[in-house]
Amino acid sequence: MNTSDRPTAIQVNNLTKVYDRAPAVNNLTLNIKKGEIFGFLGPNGAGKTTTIKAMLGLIFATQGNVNIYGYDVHRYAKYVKKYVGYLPEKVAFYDNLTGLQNLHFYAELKNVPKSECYQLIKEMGLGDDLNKKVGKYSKGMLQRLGMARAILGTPQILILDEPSGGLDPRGVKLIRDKIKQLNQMEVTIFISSHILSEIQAVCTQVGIINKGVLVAQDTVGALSKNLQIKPRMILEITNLSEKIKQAVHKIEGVEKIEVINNKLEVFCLPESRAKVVIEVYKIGGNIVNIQTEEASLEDVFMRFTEG
Amino acid sequence: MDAILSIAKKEVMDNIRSKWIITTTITFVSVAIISSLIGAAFRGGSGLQDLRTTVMMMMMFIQYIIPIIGLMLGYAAIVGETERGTLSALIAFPVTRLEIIIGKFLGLGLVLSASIFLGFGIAGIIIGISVSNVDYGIYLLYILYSILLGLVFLSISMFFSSILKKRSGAMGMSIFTWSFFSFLWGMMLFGLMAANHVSSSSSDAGGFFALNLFSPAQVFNALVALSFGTQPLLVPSMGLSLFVDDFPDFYNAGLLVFLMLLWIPIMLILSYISFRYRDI
Repeated sequence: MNTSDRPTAIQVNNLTKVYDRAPAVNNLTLNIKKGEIFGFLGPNGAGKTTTIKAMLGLIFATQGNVNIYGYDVHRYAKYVKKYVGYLPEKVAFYDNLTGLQNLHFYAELKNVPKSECYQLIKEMGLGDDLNKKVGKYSKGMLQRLGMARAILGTPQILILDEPSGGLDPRGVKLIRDKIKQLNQMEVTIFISSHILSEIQAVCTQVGIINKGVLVAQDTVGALSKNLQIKPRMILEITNLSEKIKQAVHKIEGVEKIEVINNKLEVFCLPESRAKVVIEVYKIGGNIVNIQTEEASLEDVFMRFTEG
Repeated sequence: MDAILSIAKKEVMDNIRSKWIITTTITFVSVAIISSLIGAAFRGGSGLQDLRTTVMMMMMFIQYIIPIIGLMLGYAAIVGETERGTLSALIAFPVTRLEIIIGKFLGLGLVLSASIFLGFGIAGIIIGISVSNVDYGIYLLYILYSILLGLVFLSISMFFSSILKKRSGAMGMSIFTWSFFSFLWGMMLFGLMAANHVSSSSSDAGGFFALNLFSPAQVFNALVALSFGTQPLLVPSMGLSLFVDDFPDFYNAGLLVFLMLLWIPIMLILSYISFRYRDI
């Protein structure tokens, strides 16, 4: 099924939330289709967590509303939340209870069999610590337990706020693999993260929010294309000279060049790369290394959030 | 209903694991035993006293201790979870805010009731074994009144926990409430009576006795005096008389119990109203 044909899983309609007369989110509209992995990006204080809280009914919008599969998150709170899993940025549990007791409590609230808790804890690599009081867990262990809580009962929508926070590389991989696995089961995943590589690695769609306003929503590729952000080629030239730089800059398709020590960074379309290499050789440049990089999410992010 | 029971069960487990129940139970056992011993000293004797005397002596401590324990148990119920971050995770689950309020009150209420029942119960058995004149019925009634007093203050603290945004604020308000109802209210009425040259035994004191009913701690004192008779050595120096003979006609056990019970739904409804539209 084409993505556009899928039903809308999360619909944010003209959401505005004002705190102390300052809008944290301003007239935000989002449509996230079923089965998408949606990356939500923005600088600190841009309104990401406020948007997530509105999606979960934790806060009340000044204007607008949020629907999950067409149901208002406040009016049908209990019904809607059966289908939603949430990993907050600040993961917290009841310190006096063990990891397993904590999960049992949440499983009861969702009518999920308790046997699933044990399985999830093991999957999250906490099998040896399930009977340890959560107060003694490290930040990384809490994050893993938080992920287990979020995916209890395999929710249809999973909302993750900074899922990699406090995790070691093994933990990051574990969560990333879990996200991909869930997505194969058509789970819609909404990820807010500062780690752009993480978003780029898993997300099918990206939304960028800046100062409470959604400034872009599309695939990373489409955003790069629309912004005309060109991929770059980095040439390491031992005898890099002014003459070489001027010659490269004049080549058709080259947008701009940057020089860092003996590295010439050339922003150009892929079809111009060969021309650049030939030109440098012609002038006598001694190229010892060539690297190419596609337009990154970081480029897109920086472009949309500058100023 | 399932969510309410799950939340209540979690509260009980949390307080068992944190050893709260054990600590408060030991406190209540100690209070009862010490009260019994002090009762004997007041009467010029020694050793444990019968349960009726113990009850009257316990009133001196219990009217202050149970409210503060009830308040301390509940003041962080909502605001504490908000600060720790567990409330946002809880609300993201299929549970309504009303269920959270009721579930927490039930769970914490059970914890408080169990502590009082166990604490006073263990002390009652110890005293009962040591003395000859044992009236367990009266003692049990006193335990029930004490539980009711604790539940009233628990519901008040849950209200503060629902309206205030900081744990420290909820704690401060709880301490103020405790002093207000335990000392200030009685002193204020006493002062007003003195200023108006009205004594507790005069026929003009009815209005002051009516005002006295606004404090659950004072209602508890009156209820105990009405149910068990007053011992002169326990009459407070500040506040309205606890001599049953001074009580106006409308003071009866049914009304006093009803007034205490009334606090609980009122406080829980107010908690829900303030929590219902609160941003987390």
